[in-house]
Amino acid sequence: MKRRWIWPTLLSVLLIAGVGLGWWSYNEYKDKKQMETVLGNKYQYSFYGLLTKVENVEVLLAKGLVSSTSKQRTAVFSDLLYQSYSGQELLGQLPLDQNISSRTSKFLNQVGDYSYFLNKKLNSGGKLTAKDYNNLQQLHDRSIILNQRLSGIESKVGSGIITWNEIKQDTKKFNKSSKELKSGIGNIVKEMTEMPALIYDGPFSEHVSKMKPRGLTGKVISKSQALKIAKNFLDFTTTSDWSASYKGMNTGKIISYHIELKPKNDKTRVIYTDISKKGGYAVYMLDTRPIDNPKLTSEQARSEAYNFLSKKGLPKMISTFMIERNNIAVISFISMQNNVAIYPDQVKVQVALDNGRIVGFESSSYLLHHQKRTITKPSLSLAEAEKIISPKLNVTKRRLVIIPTEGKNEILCWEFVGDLGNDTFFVYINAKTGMEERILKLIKLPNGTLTM
Amino acid sequence: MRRKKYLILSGVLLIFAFLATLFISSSDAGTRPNLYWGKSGKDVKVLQWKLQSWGYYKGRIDGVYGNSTVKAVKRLQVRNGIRADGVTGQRTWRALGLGSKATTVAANAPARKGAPRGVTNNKDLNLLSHLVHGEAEAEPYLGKVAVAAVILNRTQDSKFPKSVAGVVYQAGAFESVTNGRYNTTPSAEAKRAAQAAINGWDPAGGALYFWNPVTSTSKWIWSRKITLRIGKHVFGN
Repeated sequence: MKRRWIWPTLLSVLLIAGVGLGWWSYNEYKDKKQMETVLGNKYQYSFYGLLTKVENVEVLLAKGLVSSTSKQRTAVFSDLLYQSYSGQELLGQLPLDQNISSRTSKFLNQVGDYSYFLNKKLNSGGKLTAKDYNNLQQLHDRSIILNQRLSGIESKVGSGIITWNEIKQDTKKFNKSSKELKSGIGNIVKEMTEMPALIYDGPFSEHVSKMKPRGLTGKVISKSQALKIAKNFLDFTTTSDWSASYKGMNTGKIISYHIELKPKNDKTRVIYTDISKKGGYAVYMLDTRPIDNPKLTSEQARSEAYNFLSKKGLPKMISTFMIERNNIAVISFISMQNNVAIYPDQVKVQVALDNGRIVGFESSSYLLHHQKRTITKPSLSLAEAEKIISPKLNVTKRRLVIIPTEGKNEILCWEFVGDLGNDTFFVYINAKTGMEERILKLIKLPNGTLTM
Repeated sequence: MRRKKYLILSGVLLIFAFLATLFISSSDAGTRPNLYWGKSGKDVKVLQWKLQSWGYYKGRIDGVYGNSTVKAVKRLQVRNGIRADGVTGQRTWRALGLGSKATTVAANAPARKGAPRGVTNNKDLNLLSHLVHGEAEAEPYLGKVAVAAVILNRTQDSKFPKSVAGVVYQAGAFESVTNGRYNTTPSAEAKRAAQAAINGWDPAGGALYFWNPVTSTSKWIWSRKITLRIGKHVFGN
């Protein structure tokens, strides 16, 4: 009699739990289906947007080949810039693995970049050369192929033959085997053959990615020499209880020995550095120790950085900008030649604000660009150049500098620093042609200072 | 009659168990303690040090919440629109950028000379820190900097999206973004590493790819040329 209540109670508890669970999981399933729909819709939006942009790119490239007046051409190239960059953004939203989308992405980027370059050329009185026409023709041929392929995918998706979820799964398979994919998306990779080297003054030109470092002068050094150089580069008065060990080669932009330095008495402390194989230069140095209780002022930090650079045998450099964050001051330096400041030769130093020791050093920009330069005299005088800039600007500093162009070429400019209201600007006037090459707006941060 | 009583009892017990699990899972692990005059300890030291680095506190960092600490806290509270009572509660901790124990030093100190105008790379720092934490939390510091540098290198390369957000959120590019691990709070080391990469440090030597050779399942990635190895990751182009 006493035990008869156990079973019914248990059963009813289980029943309630079972119903509750069933109701909860059905809701989860509904939510999931809803999410899939929302996501699929977003992919559709991006894909149709991409298709539209690529169609426009094909038409505009054809117009660019055919138009004869400069006014029409600049309108066409401006539109090309917008359509291709916008298309590239939308491409990044699709669930395609990077190995499938990279060729298309590169193509769209180069179209946009090249259009921008042609526009600049036309605006400063230049003309389209035979080489430009040839490049435009090749870009146009590829845009036709891309357009056809994307339309093919559209018809399959539009008629329900394949969904975006399936395309996503499809591209994962592409990684594992190169079999023909149901959506035909693999064909894009095969048929979008790479452009032959497109070389012009722009960031995506071939010659930029293939640049060899110019600042690596001197002999090739051995591993043991590199270890010695690494130890001597540390910012301590004695380095006898530090040991350097070789950890492998870095065969990236600057071929170097990858080295770790550790002190005898502290197992957690490590300093990393790369020493270049040619010339034995320190490419970078990074100390990982925690930094508390900041004590130094900005001025003290800067003089510590200067001292370090001269101690380690770097030529005289001038500081441009400093920012303090997390008890570290990061200071940028550039080189000088014949009283001309050279921006491409950049070195950065991290100073610990607790004891003033150097905890970071970076010179890859310097090693890539530095060389003995022949600096021609400017064709424009300072006064002539200053007449060119806007009278609204209240100029406070002036000097001759060398700046890099987007295609990593170098031009001699007059640099003017001036204020307009609360904002500070840097204006660069080409010292030969008088063209306003670049305008930079200074972003004032509470913890950053311009130290020109 | 007895059956009904036990039914009700077990139902009530179930409800309690359910509520208990909800409560435990949502409790905030690691919030900062409220501090006031007379308190002492490590948290007071952290408070004093932060106040000092921002110029509010000029006394000794001794870990004792005395009159000068109270005055400094009041100054901060006035500056930040908090009731100036000299007591360090959650709002005051947040104003110092020390909201919960997960973050140690604020990445963005509130401006004293005025908010930064125009474009800043604070947002890039946040995105990069999350990615570094998700992809390389178990890696040495240098590996973290290298991972962040790979993202920045990609924004400069024509094969990839131009913005940090575009690269990070590109479909299928990063495991931690796909599986949500990316959304956890980044460690202080991850933030420091991301900051170093933004400042220009690139231990990866221009590499555009990184992967873990032991755990990677992609066949395609091996067509990339390896240029360097740091910790468990290899880097390449």
